[in-house]
Amino acid sequence: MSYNFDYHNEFPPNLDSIPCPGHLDINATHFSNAILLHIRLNGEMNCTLDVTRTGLRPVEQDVMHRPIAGIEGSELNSGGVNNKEEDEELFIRDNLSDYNVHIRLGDPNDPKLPVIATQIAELYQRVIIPTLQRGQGIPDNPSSLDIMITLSSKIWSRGDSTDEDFSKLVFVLKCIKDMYQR
Amino acid sequence: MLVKTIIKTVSSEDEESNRFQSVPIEIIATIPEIKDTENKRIPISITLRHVNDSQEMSKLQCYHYAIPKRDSSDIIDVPLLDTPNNWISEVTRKISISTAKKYHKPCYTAWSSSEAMSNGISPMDQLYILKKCINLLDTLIV
Repeated sequence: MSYNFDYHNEFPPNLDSIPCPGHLDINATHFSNAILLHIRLNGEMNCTLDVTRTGLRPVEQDVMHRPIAGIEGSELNSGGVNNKEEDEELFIRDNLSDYNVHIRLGDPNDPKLPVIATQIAELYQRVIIPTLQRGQGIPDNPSSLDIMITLSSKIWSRGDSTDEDFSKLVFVLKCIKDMYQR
Repeated sequence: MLVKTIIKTVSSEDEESNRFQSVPIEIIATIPEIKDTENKRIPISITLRHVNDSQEMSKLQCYHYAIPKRDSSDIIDVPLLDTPNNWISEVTRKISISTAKKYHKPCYTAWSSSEAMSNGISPMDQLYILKKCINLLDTLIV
């Protein structure tokens, strides 16, 4: 049994910085301690990042029970009935700081790569690994999983970020998710 | 499709006179499609899996990158994930460099094996594994 997943798609047309057609090939191999992810744009890839989990986490802030982003508990207390309680509950938490990103190969000054890598890691921790548990390809200790990502930095434009960068990231994340739903 | 992925298991049962245990090695190779081989920037990626029981999950031990220089036949290589086990880091490095040199393309090689399998392999077997990898790529890349 090999825990290998393969996926192919094409980027939507008319994107800057992506030639048309933009072939996206994703390949993931699961190991007991890590997931090796290859994301190719037109077959190419040029950057390698290693994402590890970091820090201590209280039990109630388990990976499945925390908000995706922003202020925890803000919805519950939006009425402002109990101000004291609100102050206690207001706790700003940046989930992306739970990850350590090492750029093993590629431009270490590219500010987009760590964001992309943490978003992929977050997708694995919150969506893909919990759904895989019923099936196969689950590592020994999912919460301490390393994710080794080799990707093409050419998917995202150099220089200042644009709205398109975000939609390309969402597209890549959706493709990774779709890869496991077959 | 610009790349294709092939999974093949090689075992030594059909070979005579080699000292490699009959533990099969699974090779997952992603290679450029034949018609696109003129693009020298498309890397070859090889993932090797070496476990006793095929149901058991292996541990990612080593990950190595090698790329040929543009204007010469020299190869530059760097470990992306290193291991204290010299045998593993050596065989991974050899496969990367040989592949990059032979096909003039970048090559990513990952080695995975279970903890028990990481020890007690004789150095001679490196050549056997390297040969198997190159043979497989030869049949795929025309």
